[in-house]
Amino acid sequence: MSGAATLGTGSAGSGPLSGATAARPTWEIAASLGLHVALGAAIFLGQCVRPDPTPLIDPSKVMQVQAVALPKSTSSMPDRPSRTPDPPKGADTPDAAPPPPPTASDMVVQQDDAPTPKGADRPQDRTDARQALLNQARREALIKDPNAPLGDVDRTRTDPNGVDPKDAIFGAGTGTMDPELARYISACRTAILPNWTPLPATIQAHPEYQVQLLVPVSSDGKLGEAQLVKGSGDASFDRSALLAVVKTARLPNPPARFRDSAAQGVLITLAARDLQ
Amino acid sequence: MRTRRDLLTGLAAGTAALALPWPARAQEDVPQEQGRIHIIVGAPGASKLPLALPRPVGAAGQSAEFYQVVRRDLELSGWFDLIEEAAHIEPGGTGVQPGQFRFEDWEVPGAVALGKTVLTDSGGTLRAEAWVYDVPGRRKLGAKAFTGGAASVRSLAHKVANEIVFRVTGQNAPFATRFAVAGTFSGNKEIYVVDFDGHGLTKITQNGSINLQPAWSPSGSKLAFTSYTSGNPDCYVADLGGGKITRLSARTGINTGPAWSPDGSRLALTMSPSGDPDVYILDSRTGEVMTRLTKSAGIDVSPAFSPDGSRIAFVSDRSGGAQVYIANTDGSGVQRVTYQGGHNTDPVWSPKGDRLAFVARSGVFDVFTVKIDGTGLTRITQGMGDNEDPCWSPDGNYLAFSSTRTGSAHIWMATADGTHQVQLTQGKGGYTNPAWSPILGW
Repeated sequence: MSGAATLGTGSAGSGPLSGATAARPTWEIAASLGLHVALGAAIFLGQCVRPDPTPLIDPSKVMQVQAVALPKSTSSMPDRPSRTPDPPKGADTPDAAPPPPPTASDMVVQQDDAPTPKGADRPQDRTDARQALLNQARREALIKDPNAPLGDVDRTRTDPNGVDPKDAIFGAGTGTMDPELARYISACRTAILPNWTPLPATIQAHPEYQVQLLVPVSSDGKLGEAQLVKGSGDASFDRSALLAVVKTARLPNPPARFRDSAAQGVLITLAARDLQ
Repeated sequence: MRTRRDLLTGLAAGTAALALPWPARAQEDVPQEQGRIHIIVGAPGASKLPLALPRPVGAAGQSAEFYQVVRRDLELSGWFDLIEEAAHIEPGGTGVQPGQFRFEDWEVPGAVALGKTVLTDSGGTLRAEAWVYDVPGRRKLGAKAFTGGAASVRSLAHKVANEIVFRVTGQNAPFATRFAVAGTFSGNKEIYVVDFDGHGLTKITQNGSINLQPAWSPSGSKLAFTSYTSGNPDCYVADLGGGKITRLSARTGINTGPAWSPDGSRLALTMSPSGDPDVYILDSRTGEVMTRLTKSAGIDVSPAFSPDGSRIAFVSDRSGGAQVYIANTDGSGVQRVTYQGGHNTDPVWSPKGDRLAFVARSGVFDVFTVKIDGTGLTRITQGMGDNEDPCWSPDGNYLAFSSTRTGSAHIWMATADGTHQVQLTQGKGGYTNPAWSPILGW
């Protein structure tokens, strides 16, 4: 109990520690001060003469990403399919009112995953991980950005699958595709599909049916005469595919790098079932 | 219906199509050489099929009505884009059989399918024929004849429309069906039946009380419903053939929301003999209780049998709000289906057995469907009044429900994915609790 009382009431010079400090000689204190000053000066000079570190990211290779605010959902229930047409004419349909605010029971509290603190990285892994991320970012920028400086590198050769454009049937594979070509093919698919109306009974009975056409596409997207490369065996189904091309008449302009190929003919496969 | 601009585009494409080479065989000399752009287009069917429906051939006086019924059925189906009569090239009255007309006359306006019809009247007997053709394929898809009495022109037209849809799409259409409804047309709430297209309204009950929640027996010969005619919500069964109405269950408390088993031998019913509403299974002939499905402390209501009769969907508040559950018919294996929203009611099992339609309340009432494992929640209606009491077409391709989107309650129909929503009934409204009949033989 007495020890506790001493610590609780102790003031400078009243305890055993203060007695030891008082007994230390003056020359030792002076020497200690001198050594500390010298050490501090040495560290300061060392910092001044150290070269700049190499920047982790080359600013010229950084892609700028613009964040946009997504519209906030007002209902916990999913929206109606966007293909739903308006009510038929003549129906006295009131303007669609905005959905009511969700009730308390509808609300769902979402907890985002907490970000991992940087300090959690293990020091010995950090350098390698950064370098790997940097390399990956540079590689992706090179692949995805059609305007990225190519230098002496053919951008299509950076495809992870190693596809050489001379050996590829563009768009047919399931691997990573040139993004510019992928956009073009997607736009073409969107243009053709509404014009293709084979009989639903045929599609239901023969989901395996496919037709392959070769169609020249001019630089302004105009479709030339379609040739049947491979038929389905059903003349009506094949004719519906040819009609789809006739009705489509024009596709988006082919990308500049693919105009020669498109002019020689684009392969169009029309399949009864989704092959994607 | 196609617009004038669509017509012009179609005409141009159709004319160009005439010059198309007939694809007798593939061009073997075109190699699939490397270095080409390859576009894969798959899964067609999202677009409506251009269909030509010339006026019927024949001298029957009811041809105009016949034609209008067939045309409206095909429009309601959502499958077709009917080509305007103004774009027809073929002269009226041209024959319907192969060789009696030119496919080219239908290719120019852009028809993919052609439905030719005949209606004749011989001594009070009507004969209707449907001839269905694939225009680009220049082939007959099928032909069928139907006969009936002088008053059967509408039902014959429904059958002809069914035949056209079946030959072109491979799917059965619901035109030869009816709805049972609780109608407020006379001030009270009585049970009626009405044709698929809103015609032929027929009163079933006439007791001046409140009658609601009709349910068709699997054979289509009986209707079970709830009536307050004796002062208590009791369950009755109406024999549509004989016109006799029998009280099936009048136990203390409620006797509401009957649902037939697929074989017609059982009826699921909500009853509350002890004060707490629970789901019971009754013998559909005697009304005797066979099984008590639910025994929880909460409210359990709105039973609906699965198509194979092995399970029942129902609504329970055992978790707080009203949610949809399913259980085996012996009460075991209870499984919650809905989790989103706090008020989900009126489940009905799709004939295909894979989904449930139900009503969710979020300010207004809307129709949704969900897979029976609780995934795949799909909104059918949104922002268009109250939409309640969903029911499936016999083939499961459509949903019908009562909607107030035009003011008063009418029967509306949507494809099972919620696209193509059309109003079936006309007039001042008052159609609630629609129940879709099985395919009827009339």
